[in-house]
Amino acid sequence: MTALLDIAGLKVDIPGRAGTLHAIRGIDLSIKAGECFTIVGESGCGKSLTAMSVLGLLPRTAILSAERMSWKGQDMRRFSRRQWANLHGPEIAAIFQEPMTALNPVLTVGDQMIESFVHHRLGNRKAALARAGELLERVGVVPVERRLAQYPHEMSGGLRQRVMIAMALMCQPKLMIADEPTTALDVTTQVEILKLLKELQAEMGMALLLITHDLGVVAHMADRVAVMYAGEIVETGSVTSVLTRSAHPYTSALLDCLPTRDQPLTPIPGVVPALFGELEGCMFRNRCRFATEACADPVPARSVGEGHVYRCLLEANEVAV
Amino acid sequence: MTRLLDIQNVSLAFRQRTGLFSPPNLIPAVRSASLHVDAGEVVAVVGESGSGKSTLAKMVLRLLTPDTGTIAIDGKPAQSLGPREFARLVQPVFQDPYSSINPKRTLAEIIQTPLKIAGGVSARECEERARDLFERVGLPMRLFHSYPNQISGGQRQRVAIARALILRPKLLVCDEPTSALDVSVQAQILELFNELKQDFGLTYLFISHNLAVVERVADRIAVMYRGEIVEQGETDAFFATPTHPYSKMLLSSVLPPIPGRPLPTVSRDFELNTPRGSQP
Amino acid sequence: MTGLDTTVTANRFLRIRRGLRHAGFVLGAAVLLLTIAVALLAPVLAPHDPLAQNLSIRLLPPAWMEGGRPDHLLGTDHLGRDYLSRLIYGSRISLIVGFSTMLISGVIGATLGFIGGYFGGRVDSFVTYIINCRLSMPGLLVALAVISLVGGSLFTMIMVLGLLFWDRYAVVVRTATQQIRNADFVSAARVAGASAPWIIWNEIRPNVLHHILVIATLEMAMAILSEASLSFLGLGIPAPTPSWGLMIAEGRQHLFAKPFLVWIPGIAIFVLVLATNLLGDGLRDLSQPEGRR
Repeated sequence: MTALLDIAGLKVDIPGRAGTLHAIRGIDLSIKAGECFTIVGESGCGKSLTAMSVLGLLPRTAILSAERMSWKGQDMRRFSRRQWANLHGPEIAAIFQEPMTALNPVLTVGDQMIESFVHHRLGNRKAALARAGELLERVGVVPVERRLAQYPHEMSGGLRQRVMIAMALMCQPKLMIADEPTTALDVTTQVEILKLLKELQAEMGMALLLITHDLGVVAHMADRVAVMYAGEIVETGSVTSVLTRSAHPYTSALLDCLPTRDQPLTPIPGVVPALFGELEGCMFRNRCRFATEACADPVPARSVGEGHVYRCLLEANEVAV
Repeated sequence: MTRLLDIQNVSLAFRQRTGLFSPPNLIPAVRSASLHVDAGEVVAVVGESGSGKSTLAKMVLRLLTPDTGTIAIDGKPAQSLGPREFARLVQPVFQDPYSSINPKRTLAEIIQTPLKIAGGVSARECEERARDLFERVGLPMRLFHSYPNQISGGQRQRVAIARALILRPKLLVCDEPTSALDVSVQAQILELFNELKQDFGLTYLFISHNLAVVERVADRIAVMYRGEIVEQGETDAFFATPTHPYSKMLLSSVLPPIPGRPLPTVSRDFELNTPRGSQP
Repeated sequence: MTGLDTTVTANRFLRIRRGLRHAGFVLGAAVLLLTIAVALLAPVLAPHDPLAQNLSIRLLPPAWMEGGRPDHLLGTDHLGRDYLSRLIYGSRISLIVGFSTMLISGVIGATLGFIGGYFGGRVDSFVTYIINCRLSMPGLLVALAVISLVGGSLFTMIMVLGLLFWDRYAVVVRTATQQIRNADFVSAARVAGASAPWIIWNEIRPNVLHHILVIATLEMAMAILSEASLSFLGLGIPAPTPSWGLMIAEGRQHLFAKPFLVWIPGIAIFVLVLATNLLGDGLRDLSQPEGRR
């Protein structure tokens, strides 16, 4: 199965008053149709920016470069504004963390939902509303008639998130990007929303790029996962191999610092380094208990098992899980 | 032994003005909550948004006054304590590291604030105590005179903790102290809380929605739902055999980082029996 | 100790450096400082006594025009008084009125704003009521009315303007206080036993200060303009004290023959008010990044 989204060597630099921030420093990413790919990392690692790159929504001052960045074979690096606009909706759709700011407070739910559909000439207003109604029903926002006429502030956080999901599905996208979709929700609501996403994925044969900091969400949703740290993907692989047979010290350190009853809590000492200036070698070395002098040199990508790639000098089985 | 914190049948409803001539709407936030914390314990109050846990915390901190019921701190009614007396018993640690410290003051000044308010200590001694705490919470001395915008979220939270400790309180009321932090930073702060508990002989009232954290740090747990405490008990017993349907629902929603399991089924049946059940 | 203190100085240094890059701020500040210097050094700078009349040389044009004399660079007015000297001394009036009004109205407005914003509820309703009363009054007309009753003088003008022009302070401070009031660091101070005045002064005021400064400069510009207008109408500084507004009024009769009598003080007012406004805008722009995290 060919990849829908194929990215290699993606770099994003953001010039600013303090210098140029190397926010993303060469990542490879490929998503196949129908799969759920998760990017997990902590704040500042660049995961949200990756989503923005795929959507063509980087800040205007940002400088993007990539060896390869294609959507269904088309070169995204050369996309014009119109081509990006054609992509949003029928090809790629997105939902974000904070539904209150993602939804337009002065438009009714119905009006917002049909915007994209009508814009992409997929049907007239009547057809659009019919589809909106169908989708709202499917995501559980009922009664449909009433909800279509409501404003975002009249709904709870969970309902708004469902509306966002329905809105994203209006043009039947091949890929949905969800950036921390459940972080602002209660845990019980989170489970329902995640379930909904999974079901929709199966029903519509849609690929899902899920961005999160929560390893529990990763474990329950992902087919494949990429662990990001300081602008780089340090480990990629199937969710089972990455979480149970972690090859990179950061991944296992992250798993270790999750609070559980029996194990002692082992925090990760130190802080993420600032991504300015010349950056060479492994960015985790100032916090890694396995660090050696060799870690200051560029670290190659290494493979362990099928599709499981990581960037570290250690052998995979030296990292205790 | 007197309980350090004793909350008895406390209720609070928020008043929403509906117009010039109509009576205000009463929105109950906490209903008849009773809870106690003994010295040296860590008691966690868990719940989701709208459960009333933050409101309860604010009442313990005397930021809100309960409509009915009593709150006693170290045996005395909370209302009867003078401001200085109260401050030496109870101190807060809040959730948002960005709004919990004054952006226009240096870290040194922030930490000394409660001591300056209390008065009676020379400026030099204030600063000395602040320095000690600064180091104790794991912050590098070169940052002592920095401003909040120069430090990270985790570091700000440490500053907030140092500030909370400068009056040597007995009880720390922590309202979601690690929810806004990254997982790795959260682990550091939780470890800090643990060390400080031993060193300073502290007692914690820990508000959280994160059950994994609570399982780790709490001796006892109270679960709140729509303003009521629906279940209370020892942590181990609670996690092993929860009794209330909401507790079960909450526990089943926790997603451990173990792959290969399906998403849990969360049943909302019991909501039909509770007031104002509506889809989230 | 040097290592510890560098971060503090670094902060202030960065702010000053950033300030110096902002054109409006620099220009405004420069002109204002220049005017202050001129006002302070008036006895030294002014070539003649501004009140000294000499009818034999009345209505002389400025030195660069035909008929002008180098010892009266800006000419003379209808009573033969040196215009340059009157202009220089006139700056004192503008600045005194500007600063005094700014301070008085600032204290009144900010206090009301803090009280309303912090306490909320009935107290705030009362404060809002007072603000609304003030806003429904046409400020300058009330000033006119009061001064006509009481008689014009420097003191009266400062009092009237100060007691009237506090509304912008009050509104802005009130809103800003309301926003900060709910911040956790305020709650922390309350738990620590701080009284309301303590919190307002120590926790809220530093976060509202930049707003107050911006309003202050803009109010100063308003005050200078108001003084000029009132003096022009004859209800401000009484003659013979040189005030730029008064100079315009006195020159009005000779507008067609000797226009310089009007446009010289006119330009002075314009430049000073523009500079003050630029300074205020600059302060507002510069204080923006502080709002960001």
